Amino acid sequence: MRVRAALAGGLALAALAGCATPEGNPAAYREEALSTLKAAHSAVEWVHITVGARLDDKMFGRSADDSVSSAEESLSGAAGTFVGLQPPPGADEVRDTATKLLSAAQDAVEDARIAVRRDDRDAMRKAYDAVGKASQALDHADEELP
Amino acid sequence: MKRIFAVALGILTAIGGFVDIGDLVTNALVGSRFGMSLAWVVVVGVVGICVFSEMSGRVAAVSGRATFDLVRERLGPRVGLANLVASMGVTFLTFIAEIGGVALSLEIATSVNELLWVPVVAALLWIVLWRVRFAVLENVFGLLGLSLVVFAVALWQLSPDWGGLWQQVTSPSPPSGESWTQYSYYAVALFGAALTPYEVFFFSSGGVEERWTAKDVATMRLNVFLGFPLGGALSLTIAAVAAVVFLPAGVQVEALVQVALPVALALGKIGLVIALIGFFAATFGAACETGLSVGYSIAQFYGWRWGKFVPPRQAARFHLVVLLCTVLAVPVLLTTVDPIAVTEYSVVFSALALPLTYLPILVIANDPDYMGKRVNGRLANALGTVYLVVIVVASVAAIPLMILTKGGQ
Repeated sequence: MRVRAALAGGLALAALAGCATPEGNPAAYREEALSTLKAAHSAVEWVHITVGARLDDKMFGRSADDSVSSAEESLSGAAGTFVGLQPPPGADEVRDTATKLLSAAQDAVEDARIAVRRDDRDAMRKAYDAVGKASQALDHADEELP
Repeated sequence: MKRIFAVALGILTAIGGFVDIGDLVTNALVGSRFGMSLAWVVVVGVVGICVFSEMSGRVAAVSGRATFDLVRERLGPRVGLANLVASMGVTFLTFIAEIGGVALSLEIATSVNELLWVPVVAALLWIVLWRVRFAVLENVFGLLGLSLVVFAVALWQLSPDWGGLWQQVTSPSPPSGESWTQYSYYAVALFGAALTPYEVFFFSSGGVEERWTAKDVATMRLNVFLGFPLGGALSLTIAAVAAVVFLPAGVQVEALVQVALPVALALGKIGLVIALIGFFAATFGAACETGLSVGYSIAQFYGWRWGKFVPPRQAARFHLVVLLCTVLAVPVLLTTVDPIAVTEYSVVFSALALPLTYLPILVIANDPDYMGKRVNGRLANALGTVYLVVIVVASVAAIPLMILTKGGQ
């Protein structure tokens, strides 16, 4: 009877352990951060191309808005998934650096979306430069991450 | 003159009707991530669809009966049912993706959310399938689909490094940052997109709708052997513009609006409008084809009266199946599932179901009881057999690759 109880207890513990969020190791977490920043770079560069096309009058306002909004959604999805991950001990610096880069990118894309939706040319020009800088920072994420 | 016009019209609609949401999304996505290094898969896929479409078209012209009509009779109800379930599952998934694609095209043009367009598109689709004649439906959307030639013009206008593009074509390996597993996964997806099962169901059923006879085999072959490769070339230009604009920038294609972005960069607003017309025609035309294919296959399997050449009252069960599919697709899309994700999965599942679609065609095309003197020749059999091996390999690899790459991520 005691053996059965111990076995059941062991199985329950194993099941609970399976449900817990694994912390992983710092190297795997860094890889995850890099992959998120690569996805973020793709979304930000997408916005950069769209705003450039709108400024050159090569796209309609509505299509540009749809394009920027879709990119923003993609960026939020990638950032949200990463932020929800539990960083393992010793990976806080990686988390901070990645979060800062993602946050700067989200701010730049948000400004771009507002400018495109308002069809405000001056704001679009500023947003184009800001998005370009955010894109460059994300492109060099591998060097910036500790 | 009338004959030449009919042949030209057939070829043009075959080109315009070749591209659907799966081809649009998969080619652009592959171009943005792998450049032109997977172009060989499109070529292999196009030769495959030509081989099997010719067989299924010949079967329809000689026997006067469509694919599923013969599958159950020739292979028995059990194999026939397995075939029906697998093929219909994939075709229905493709149907959902096409409706989503139409809604997305309208969203890009109007900024009205795609979810609001979904019921409107479904209603419009049903009216078209119910009221519009088969030939009108095929010709109008096929010809409007030719607007996608704007991708070829955009490619020329972008003045790419042609030597660099050719080097990508002749280097069939993943670029830096991509693994062989991801490369193989997208090779299977591109292959599945080129050989989607509904294409042969629709082609053979369309032959019966248009009352082909053995005399029409030559015209049918011209449509297949000229129209489909040119349609495949159109697919390659979609991949090429994505490779030119997105690959160097590190942008991965995730949305339909991105597919049109290189055209806007090259040709401005006029190019964008033409591309959007092409998207609408390609996806709406393919939605008609997939919707009808589901109805065709089920009705043919159960021996019901079917087709748009029969008055709706006499083919009530066929029209009911088409209506039910259209109605069922709406709540699926309204769950806010991403139509692009549905498309990506539909082309991979399509690869999984390919052997069940193409093996029976090869068997029937070799049966003298149905085909008389028009059975497969040596070349058709050799190509059919080689392709069946390739199809089985792609089918077996599809799911493991999907798991290993987490859906291509």
